[in-house]
Amino acid sequence: MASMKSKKGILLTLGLVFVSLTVLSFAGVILNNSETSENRIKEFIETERMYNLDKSISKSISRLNDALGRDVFNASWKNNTISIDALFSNESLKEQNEIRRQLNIFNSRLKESGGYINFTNFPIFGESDVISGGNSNPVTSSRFYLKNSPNMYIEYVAHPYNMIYLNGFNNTNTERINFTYVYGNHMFPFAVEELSGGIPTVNCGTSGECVEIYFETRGNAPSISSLFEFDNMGSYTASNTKMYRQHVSDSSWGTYGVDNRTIAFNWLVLAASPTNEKTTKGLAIVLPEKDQAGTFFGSTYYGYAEGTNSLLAETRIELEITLRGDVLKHREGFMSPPVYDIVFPHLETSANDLKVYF
Amino acid sequence: MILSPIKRKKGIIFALDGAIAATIILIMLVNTTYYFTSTSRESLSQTQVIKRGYDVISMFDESGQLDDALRNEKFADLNVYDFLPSGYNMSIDFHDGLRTDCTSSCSLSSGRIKTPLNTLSLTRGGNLHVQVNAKITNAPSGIPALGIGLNTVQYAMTSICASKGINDMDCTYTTTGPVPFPTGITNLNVVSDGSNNFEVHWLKVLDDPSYTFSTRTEAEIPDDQFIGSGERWYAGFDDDTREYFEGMHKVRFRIWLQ
Repeated sequence: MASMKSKKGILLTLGLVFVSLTVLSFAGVILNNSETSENRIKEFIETERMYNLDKSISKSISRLNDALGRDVFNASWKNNTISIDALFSNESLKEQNEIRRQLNIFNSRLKESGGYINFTNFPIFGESDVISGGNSNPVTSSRFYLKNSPNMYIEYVAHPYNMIYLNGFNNTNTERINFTYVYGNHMFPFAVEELSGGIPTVNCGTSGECVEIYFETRGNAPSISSLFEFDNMGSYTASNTKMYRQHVSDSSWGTYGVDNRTIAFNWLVLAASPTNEKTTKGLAIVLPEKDQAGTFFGSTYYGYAEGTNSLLAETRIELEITLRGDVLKHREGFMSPPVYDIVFPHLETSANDLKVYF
Repeated sequence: MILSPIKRKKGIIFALDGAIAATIILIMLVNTTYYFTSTSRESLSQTQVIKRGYDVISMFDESGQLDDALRNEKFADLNVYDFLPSGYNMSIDFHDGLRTDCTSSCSLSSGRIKTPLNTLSLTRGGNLHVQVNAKITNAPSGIPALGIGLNTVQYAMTSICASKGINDMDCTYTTTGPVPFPTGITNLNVVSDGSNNFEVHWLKVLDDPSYTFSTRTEAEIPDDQFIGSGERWYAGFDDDTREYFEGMHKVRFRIWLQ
């Protein structure tokens, strides 16, 4: 009799434990659901906040650039052609430095107000990979990467270097480069010359995988045009290979047509591998370089002295680059490494509902 | 039936166990139900209202109403009710929108002359940037430069100028680095470069709350009906053409139930 009662007690206890565990597990599910729901709401608000901060800062920087940069560099993409319009002027360095100073002020203010946005680097107004000015005097440049081909980028370097560098553009991915030199009443263009030493064109007639490079001028003198082509430059491992030069002349530089300066087209192989990119080879366009002792973009240029590369007037370079091959298999566009990072926002929640404070 | 003392004790223990278990379960159920209902029902709808707040402030930016506010140092009539659900209200704070006008000794000619601005009433000290607007009234000599003098230390400034003629150049100067303000400071000096003639118009200490203007004061926003806030950055310009950059401004909104 006692053992029957004992069994009933055990069953009752087990039953109660089972019921309790069932209720407890339901409570756990509800609690978890509640927490998940709150997390989702937080994420929703955080995303919204980050989106708005990002968009408003991006727009503000864009407006700042438009105001201070005066359309110094524009790049656009249509079908398989990249169009670049770059302004070169003696003022452009001052403008870029002012933009950089204003961004530094903004960065400093953000640090004081909690540091939720950090300007970690300045790729748009950053330091050039091509021209080293040393630690004390870094050369400012702007770099635009091809969105789905990050090994390819276009770098613009303002006065006094006045350069556009096309990293990674070669005969496998580039069909044609149309170069237009736009000028006014100074720095008149003369013929384009292919430099001795041999630009490779062996396969141009057969496989057709060559880059056509078309030169044209537009300004206050009759237009000059010429067409050249080059194929694989892979065997050119020297840091600096002269390819073409367009003579420009002005009476302010000496005897008109004699004391020339040049727009230099050189194939560069960068000495040190850049931090973010795998490709270190490409075409550099520099103006107006002093043609002395054949040192195109050489030691004379790196050892820039005030006035050496002064422009007599504002001038523009327009480029149309027609691409081919794997690059076109995916839709392309431009991108740049982020100018700033937004750290995850701090939210405060109160007990009765979610309130959002920043 | 009389139970033995041992059985009586077991019954009490069993009853106590049951009561404690039931209480714990009840507390958990109440809490979870409370959290479940409060987060899913109230907050989700409130996030939508905050999102609407972001939309409203973006719209004011795009439509130029923030530009107007910067120039006039106050908001014109912003009808937020047209864009918010009924029963909600919204306040907008425009940071660094107010100015301390220079009222005496504002002309700086040759020599390193200082002009005192005695009307500062900073809400807090700290490392803050200073902005000064001045007109250059001579044909500029070199790059006209101003500095900020505080406790015998001078802080350099960078400038963006709008040239309206050879003797009429309007420049906004900003310190390149932060100035360490002690609390309660009321006096600041603007120092000229010694070779240009300046007419100082105004000065502001960036990110100090005393230079913020709002559509509502803090006291007008009830704590227990407050829902949320958000912010946006806005690039300010000295003229309508948006050619002369003035500085970055934080614009913050707060939404509450009416």
